[in-house]
Amino acid sequence: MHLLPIDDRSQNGDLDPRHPGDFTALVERHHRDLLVYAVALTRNDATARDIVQESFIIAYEKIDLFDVTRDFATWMRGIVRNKWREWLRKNKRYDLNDNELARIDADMALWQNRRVQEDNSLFDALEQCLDRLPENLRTVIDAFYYEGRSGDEVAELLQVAPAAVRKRLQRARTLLKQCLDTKSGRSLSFPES
Amino acid sequence: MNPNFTPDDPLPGSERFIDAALSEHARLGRDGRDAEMIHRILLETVHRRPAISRESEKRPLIQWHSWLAGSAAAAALVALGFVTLSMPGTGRQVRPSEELHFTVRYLETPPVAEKAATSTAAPQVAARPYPGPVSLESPALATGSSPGIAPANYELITTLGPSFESLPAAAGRKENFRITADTSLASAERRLYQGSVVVEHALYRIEATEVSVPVPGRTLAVDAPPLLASNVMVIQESPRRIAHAKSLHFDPLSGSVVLTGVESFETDGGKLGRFAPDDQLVLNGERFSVESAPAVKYASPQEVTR
Repeated sequence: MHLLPIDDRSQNGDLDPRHPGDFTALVERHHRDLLVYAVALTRNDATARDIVQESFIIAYEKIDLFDVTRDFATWMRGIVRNKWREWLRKNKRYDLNDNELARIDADMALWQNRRVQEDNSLFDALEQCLDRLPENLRTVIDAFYYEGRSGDEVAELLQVAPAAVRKRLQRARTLLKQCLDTKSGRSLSFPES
Repeated sequence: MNPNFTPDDPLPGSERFIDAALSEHARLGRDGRDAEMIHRILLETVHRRPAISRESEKRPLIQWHSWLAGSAAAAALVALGFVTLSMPGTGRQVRPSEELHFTVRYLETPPVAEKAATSTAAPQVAARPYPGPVSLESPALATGSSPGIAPANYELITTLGPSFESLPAAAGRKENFRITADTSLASAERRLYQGSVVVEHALYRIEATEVSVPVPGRTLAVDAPPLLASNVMVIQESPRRIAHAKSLHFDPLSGSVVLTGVESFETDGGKLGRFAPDDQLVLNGERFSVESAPAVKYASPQEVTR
């Protein structure tokens, strides 16, 4: 496993997850990032929500084991990862290799830290990057993700071959990723899987 | 996530993060939150009631002196709890949970009968001129109308604790609530609950930062606004609805929950997010309505000529 070193010093501010009110605030603060993380791992919206929900419940039940000097988001990500592995074992789904998992983990950690330290969320940066996409790629992203059309429907809408839609989606995601890496302040280089 | 993709699609890891971010951004928006998931998490964590141990059912009967000592200790604890609650400014270490009952009792004839009687009266054919001075000042904005309240024709009986009494003969409605909060304060007129307050009702679950209710006793409804809450989330299970609002009041006469400063309202049919600050969202069982603040009409100082 080649996980990047992640800064897991406490980013919790004044919030102590052992206090019910603070735990509620931490759920509000972190649930969206953890949902993105879980969707990236599972590629299944409903499963991702179940995993994040169960992870918060486990965290609450085992809150006495949490080291308050460490970062709550990092701890939560670890629980989500363990729940995902459990789900993989039960459902025999397509697994990520170590490099892919490390890449997703590092991306998530980076954006969680940026949101806490600089109040700059992943979704803020994503919107800025979407605005910079070439029009033909933006159209495909809008139709596929924001209007919920299938690849074939997008192809029919744009009167192009389905393979061209997939290619444009791939190109758009690559450009968005590069844009996000630039915005996050560092460009990560990983061994390609 | 786009439903046409399955987890078995060979999307490379380098694209999965951005694919997930796009999917969740499309679902939640820039600043949105997954209210339903948060609600479920909080129900299973900070708002979970301690499970009732079933071990006591298996134990043999306890000795009479143990029972007596236990009863005395329990009575002392209950008394201590009431003393603590009645001291203004006293916070509690554990989250107290109390039952509250609003009973509406009509003082004279119920409003419906009164309205019917009025409608049978002879129609008014002429209006008497108003003899007093006419102010040209703009009147203050009228406050929002709460449905069905006819002031001072009923009294509100607030009681605390489990009650097995039958409704008073002339009572119109009875509403039961359970309120759980981090702290509670009491004044001569009202009780104030603070800190992650949860109000449970047969139809609604209300989560708020602050809730106040009248002190137990009989009061004219106009003197004692019933349950008031601020910064609320209201969850209704059947039909499924979730609303977020700045403030809420409960109208025991109609059984309606009236929300003002509504931020969002989700139903099975979709989500409403555009409300004017004065709009009122009224939930009443299976029905709901959005009521705008009534238009204020001003007397024209100009003489009308034809």
